[in-house]
Amino acid sequence: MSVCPVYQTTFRETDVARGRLALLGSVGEGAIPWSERLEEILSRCLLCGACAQICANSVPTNRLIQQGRQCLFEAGKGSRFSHPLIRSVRQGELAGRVVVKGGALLQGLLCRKIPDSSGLHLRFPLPFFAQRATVPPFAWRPFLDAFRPEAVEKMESTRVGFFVGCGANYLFPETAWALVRILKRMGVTVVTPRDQVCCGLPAYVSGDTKTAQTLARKNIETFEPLDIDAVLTVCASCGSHLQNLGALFEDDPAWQDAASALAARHKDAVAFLVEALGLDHYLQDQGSAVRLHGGGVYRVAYHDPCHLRIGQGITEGPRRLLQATPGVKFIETPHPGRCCGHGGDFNLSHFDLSMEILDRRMEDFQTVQAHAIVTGCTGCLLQFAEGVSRKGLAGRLQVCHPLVLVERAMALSAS
Amino acid sequence: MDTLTSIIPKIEAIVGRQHVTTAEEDLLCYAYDATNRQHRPDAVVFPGNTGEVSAIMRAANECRFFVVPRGAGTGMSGGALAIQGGLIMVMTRFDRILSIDRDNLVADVEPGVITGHFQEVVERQGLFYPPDPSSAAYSTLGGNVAECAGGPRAVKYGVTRDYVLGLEVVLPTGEVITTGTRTAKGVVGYDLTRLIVGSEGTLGVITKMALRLLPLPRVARTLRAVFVQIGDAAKTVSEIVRSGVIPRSVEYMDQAAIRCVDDHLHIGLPVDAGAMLLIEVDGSPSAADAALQALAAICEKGGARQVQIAGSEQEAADLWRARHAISPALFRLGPDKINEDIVVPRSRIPEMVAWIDDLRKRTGLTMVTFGHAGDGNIHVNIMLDKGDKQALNKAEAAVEALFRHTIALGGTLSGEHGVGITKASYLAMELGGAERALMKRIKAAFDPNGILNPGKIFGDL
Repeated sequence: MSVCPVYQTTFRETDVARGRLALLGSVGEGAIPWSERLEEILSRCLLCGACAQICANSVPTNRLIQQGRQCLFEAGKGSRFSHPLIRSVRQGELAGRVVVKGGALLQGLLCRKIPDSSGLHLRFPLPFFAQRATVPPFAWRPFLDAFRPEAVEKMESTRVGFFVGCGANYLFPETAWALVRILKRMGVTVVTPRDQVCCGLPAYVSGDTKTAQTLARKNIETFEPLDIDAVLTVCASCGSHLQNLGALFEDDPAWQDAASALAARHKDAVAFLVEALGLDHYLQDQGSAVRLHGGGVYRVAYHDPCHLRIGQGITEGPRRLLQATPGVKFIETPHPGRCCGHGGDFNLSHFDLSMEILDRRMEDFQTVQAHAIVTGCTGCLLQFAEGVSRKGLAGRLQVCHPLVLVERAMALSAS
Repeated sequence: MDTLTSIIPKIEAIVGRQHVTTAEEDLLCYAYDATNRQHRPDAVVFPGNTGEVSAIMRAANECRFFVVPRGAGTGMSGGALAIQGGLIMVMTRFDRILSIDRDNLVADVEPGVITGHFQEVVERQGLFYPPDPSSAAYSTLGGNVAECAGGPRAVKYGVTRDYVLGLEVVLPTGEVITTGTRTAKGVVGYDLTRLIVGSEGTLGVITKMALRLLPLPRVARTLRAVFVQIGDAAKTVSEIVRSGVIPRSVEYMDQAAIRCVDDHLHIGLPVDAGAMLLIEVDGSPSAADAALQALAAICEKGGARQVQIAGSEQEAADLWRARHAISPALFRLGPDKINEDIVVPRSRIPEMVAWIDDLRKRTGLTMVTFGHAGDGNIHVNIMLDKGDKQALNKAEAAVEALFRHTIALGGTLSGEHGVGITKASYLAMELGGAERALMKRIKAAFDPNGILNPGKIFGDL
């Protein structure tokens, strides 16, 4: 009750683990049937995992809610967990591309720029985006279409696989590019298979476990044969899903081992750069002063994505990296670990609630007078872009992935 | 349910349709509290202001419809349960801190404010609201006042009652009354404030509270003392009381509690110890350090195997983590919990602890004791499966014996949880016939039709 972002906003018993578990228990006992109201209640969970993390009795509430959604989905009742966009994307890479490219086209035809925005924030008249003030434009050229592997690989170097994820591929390709460039500077070979697909998290959280498994199998097959030291992700949500991939195949032992093996090789890119490659020390050694900001101190505040802090237990690496980045004054916000309210699909189906949670988190950044919000999750990035626009801070408060900032600092130091 | 169908439209007209629900799913979520008992209400309402509460009470009183006020549902005695059905009135929309008056050290707050949030806000201003029930992170101030919640700091600072200056209360008949004063002293008329604090939602619905604040102590320091023998720990508590040094908390955990928490958190607690004490002092840095040294010496003299003083706030927080984790971690020992919070005079703590240890051995029940030893408030928990009739009978007999012994030592049946439904059948053990009759006449004066939180405290008598 003290950690649930939704309960902290509504203070309703139906919006907290205790209530949701009571309902799932009643359904399990056959005391109440599946209903629209129940579907609505289960959809109001961010699946952030905060309740499970602090539970003294290790009740995996987020997993149980996902199972509840799965029951609804399989009974053909899971409609409201998904908007048309997500339904298309979760069918896999091909359909995803069609929708996304269509989206970019529509954007060009129908969108108008917000005058004071950076040009990245556009108003969408599409029905499912009508409520949002901003969305970043879909990339005209997704990262995976543009990326070309190096012709000659250094055989002695560390080799990593890169699982790009839809967010970094279509919405924030600069994040993917930043990782590739940083790794190149560090002398690491990046293997980025083109036939990788969506991690499957959107399908999984809306109860469509079968589609999630299909996508996971494809990714396992893609990465399994590669001779690499780790599989890196830049998005905390994809990362947490890969990290727990074994659990997706509880009913399929034939695949579970392979899924667990991929999970074991997975590592969040920032954590890998700090822990395995010592990027923070590398940056400190470079030590040259750079200006990432117009003038004066550049106050950078970090946001813990739930899928990184809870999903992968990573809180220190990103902080160490930002503290070591030249030109950055690292600021800790009040209430570190507070959720941004994005929750993937949650943001679409419960937009107002999502915005209330966001507004509370935005206040933390305003309190410390941050110039930039830095976070390693494409969902959080989308959410904060919206937050900046809501608060009228466009141009004064930047939002980006830590690696984008680090890469800029490295490029400036080098030049 | 004719009354139900006729009253719901009236309530909808008062608060708006979106703030009333009769959906089965919602009713199930307001059927329980921290006692884990289930009583399905007929409807749930979320009023937004005093006028709405008053109008609802008037409507309910007219058609004799039961109303049960509720905060966050974290009570331990069933105060927020609709045991005879009716309307659960959830006060969480009353969530504003109206003012913090630094000149007079008074805060005006609404009952739905979360206790921990309020503490955080006043502490940022250098002020202090001492009552700290273990549920402070999610319980509401209104619930704390209605149940007169306590907490570890009671040793030095007292309980919720000591911080309530005045109240705005809606009576079951719909009238709105204000009680108390905003001054440090005040003796005009009966002290209705104190009557309503701890009345468990049976006399009125609290809609506003004036709370007393203190200046924030400059530092707080923590000490942990580990004892081989539980008896030595208990005697040390008595010795501390006699010494004249007043810590703000003296918490104790027995071996079962230590093991249970460590099993959950894996933080390297001394699982072979008989008991441990967590002691906290506050004040100016020099006074706190001096008190801490004196207490460390008392613990060592009392036979402590190890005395550890937290060197930093983080270390102190780590020491307290174990204490805060006990209550929920207990369910590792059994699916059901019988949770009593008896109090004995502080000088009788060693006797009581020895007696409870003997009871555990005699009955073979899984018993865990911990609590606020510094004020004599001991939480005795019996973990069991209530489906096991034999175990349940044995546990109930043990509870009755515990209560009898508590009264015999000059104690009371509940320090901070209240009577509610869980202790209603034992009320006569502590209160005489004349006292109970007077209390019921008071209840009738406030609530002539018996519509507010029926069946609580006095049972079905």
